[in-house]
Amino acid sequence: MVCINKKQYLEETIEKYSNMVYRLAMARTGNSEEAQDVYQEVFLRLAKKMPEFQSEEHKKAWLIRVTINCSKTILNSSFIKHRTELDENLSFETPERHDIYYAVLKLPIKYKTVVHLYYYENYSIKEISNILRTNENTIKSRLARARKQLEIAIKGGIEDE
Amino acid sequence: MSKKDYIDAINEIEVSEKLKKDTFSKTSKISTSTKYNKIYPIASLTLMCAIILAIILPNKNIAPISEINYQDVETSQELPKVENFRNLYAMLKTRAKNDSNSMVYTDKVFENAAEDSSNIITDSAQTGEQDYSKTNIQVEGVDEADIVKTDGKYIYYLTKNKLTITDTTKMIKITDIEFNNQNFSPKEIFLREDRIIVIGIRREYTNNYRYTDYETFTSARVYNIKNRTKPILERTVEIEGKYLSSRMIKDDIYLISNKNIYSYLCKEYKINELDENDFKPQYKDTVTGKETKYIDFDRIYYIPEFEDTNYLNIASFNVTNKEEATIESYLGAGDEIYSSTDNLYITKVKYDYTKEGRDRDIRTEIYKFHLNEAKCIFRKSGKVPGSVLNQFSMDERDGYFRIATTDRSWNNEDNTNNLYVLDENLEIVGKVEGLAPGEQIYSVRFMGNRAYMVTFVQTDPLFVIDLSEPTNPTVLGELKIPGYSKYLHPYDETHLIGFGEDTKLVNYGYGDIVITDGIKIALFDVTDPNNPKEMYSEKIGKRGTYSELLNNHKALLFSKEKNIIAFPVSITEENYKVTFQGAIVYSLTLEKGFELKGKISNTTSEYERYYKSNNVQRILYIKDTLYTISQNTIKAVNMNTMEIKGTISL
Repeated sequence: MVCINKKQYLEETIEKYSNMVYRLAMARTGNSEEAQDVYQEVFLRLAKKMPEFQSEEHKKAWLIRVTINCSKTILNSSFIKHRTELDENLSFETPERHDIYYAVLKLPIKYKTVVHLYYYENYSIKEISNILRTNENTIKSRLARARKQLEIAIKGGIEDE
Repeated sequence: MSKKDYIDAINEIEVSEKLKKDTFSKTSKISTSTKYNKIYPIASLTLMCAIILAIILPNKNIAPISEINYQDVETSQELPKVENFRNLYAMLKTRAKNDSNSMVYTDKVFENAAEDSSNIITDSAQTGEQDYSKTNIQVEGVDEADIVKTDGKYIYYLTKNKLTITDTTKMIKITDIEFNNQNFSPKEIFLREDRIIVIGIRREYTNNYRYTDYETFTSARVYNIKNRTKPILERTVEIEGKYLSSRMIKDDIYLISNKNIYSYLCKEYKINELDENDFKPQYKDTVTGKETKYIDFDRIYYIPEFEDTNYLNIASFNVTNKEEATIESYLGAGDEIYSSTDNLYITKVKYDYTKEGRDRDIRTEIYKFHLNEAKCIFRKSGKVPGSVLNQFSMDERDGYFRIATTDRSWNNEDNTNNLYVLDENLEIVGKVEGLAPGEQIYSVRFMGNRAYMVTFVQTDPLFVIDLSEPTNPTVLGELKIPGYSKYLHPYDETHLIGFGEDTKLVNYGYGDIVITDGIKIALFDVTDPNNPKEMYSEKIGKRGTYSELLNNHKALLFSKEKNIIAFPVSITEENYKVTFQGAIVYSLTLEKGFELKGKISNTTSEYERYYKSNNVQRILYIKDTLYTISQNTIKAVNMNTMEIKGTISL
């Protein structure tokens, strides 16, 4: 679609990527209040910069990277360091969903980001390495270690299907 | 455990509409760096051509749209109609260019429905006495739909994909109406004697790939439940669009939806490349036939000045008779509704991006409709500065419409809060502006000739505003206390209860920050309006404690006669650990304040606190028994002794 207006462009982008950004922020921060801050910051940066994207995929990857960076900044701020705890107030439809969600959240941040992008966003190892600008082998080993930790945390670990 | 569980879990996490809207309005205010796409000049050129063509074309129906005489419309109260597709097309094409106000999100939830049959019990619950709780509504006589209703004998409870009817005298489940096979997602119910009206969203999948994968309908299904074991679907009324809200006055239901128009197509395609039926809102009333019909352009109204590329659809019908529903469609949109027994007000907050600076760039547009015997007739439109918070920010008394708004600035620092009194024609006749600079409204309640307004930044001022002279509203008094109320409920004429959150100031090395710190309920004495007082207050839990009541007044059970206050809560103590999920029950007297009567949980183990199916959603009473309602269980508890009387598995 042709975009002749910035506001419309933002509206459409927010509508389209809202859940993606928010869910990734939740997966990284584990806390809805922080995730909301990250979410706003991501779209504010988009509005300020208005980067030119070559494709929709490029735009999506940009949003993912900014979400990761913003949550890094928030998690590093001293105020958050004093108090960030997992927000265990979320409730889910089934016990399985609850268990796996929290098991992933309890992983180290590097691992859970990879798990989220791999399992939820369905990116390949290669794509993740591009987005995170990290070596493919590093991504592979993070994913393997994450799986191992999940196996210890929950019965049967995480299966592909 | 599988990958799918993780995906499902994550899919349950959704961004709130409010966060989306807030973010959008913030991003929109970042000054445009005019990095327009190269297409822009061409598009604007075609746009201008279209406008010129529209004006010079010798079509009588096109001219009135650009030259409509507002004065005539105001006095005649008769709105102009769209008339034909050429007009709509011209309108959309011009409006789409600066239209970002029309953020009407489509609903994302949907599930599914089926039939049920079992043995027959014919029984009506009508008894002389009415000793049972009703949904906590705003205006006496104007019923609001909710997920649970009771008639004093049966409890009707709507969960994600079924409506369950239970008999409280026998403590058994009688029947389920399941919604499994259709793309129908029930949202709320009304109860009117022997009829239950289930309101929900229905999705219809289409092959019309150019526009959308599916069409969304707001659907009202009327079930006859004279035989409680065998509810019969009597009637279905549907209007296209996402469900906004509904009201029931006596036997009449008013159903309101927002429907997007694919306006961007008018920029991409010529008029003869489009099918005009795709631009017409659809409706259905099984009283007149099973098929879905289109509302023709000569039946669609538009409101001059109020530029929206959406339809606001209203269906009105009587649930007891078989008269055809009245379907009205307007080019417009709504976010909040308020209804008295006579008039319905629909508001839409608009952001004026064209203005530079922070001044007066947000307004609330108001549409007023007269309600009479299942007919909803447009009366007037008007506007006030600032944005309205929710239905409780509005009120009608003696023909005057009162509305409280926050005029928000980009950084919240220049926020101001206002209250306006409008006459029958929605002209502002009185106002108080500039209250609590830098703060924003958290809750409002109108009680007779007074308004109570809570604003907040660091402390909670409760304003008492006198409205006895509509042309001269005056602030009588204010009270500053820590925390804020998100919902105000009248206790009696001179006392009100505030439900909200406690707050505290913390300093982590770079200035004071306000953080929430548990739920707080308080009783305010406004006997002396110049000097409001907090008589009692009670704190529940630590940071992270949550109750649906903070966002939805229907979660409250309050009865002064029974001396009872109850609401669902999940209590968080240190480290975000949930220590309790269930109903918290208080008594409240002016002499003793809040006294905890007890806590009722429908969970049996610590772990279950985290599952929705065990979370108490509502609390009801029938005579002296309290019922806590959760997806798996209804628990009955003696109101006086707090002893468990029994449970029903659902």
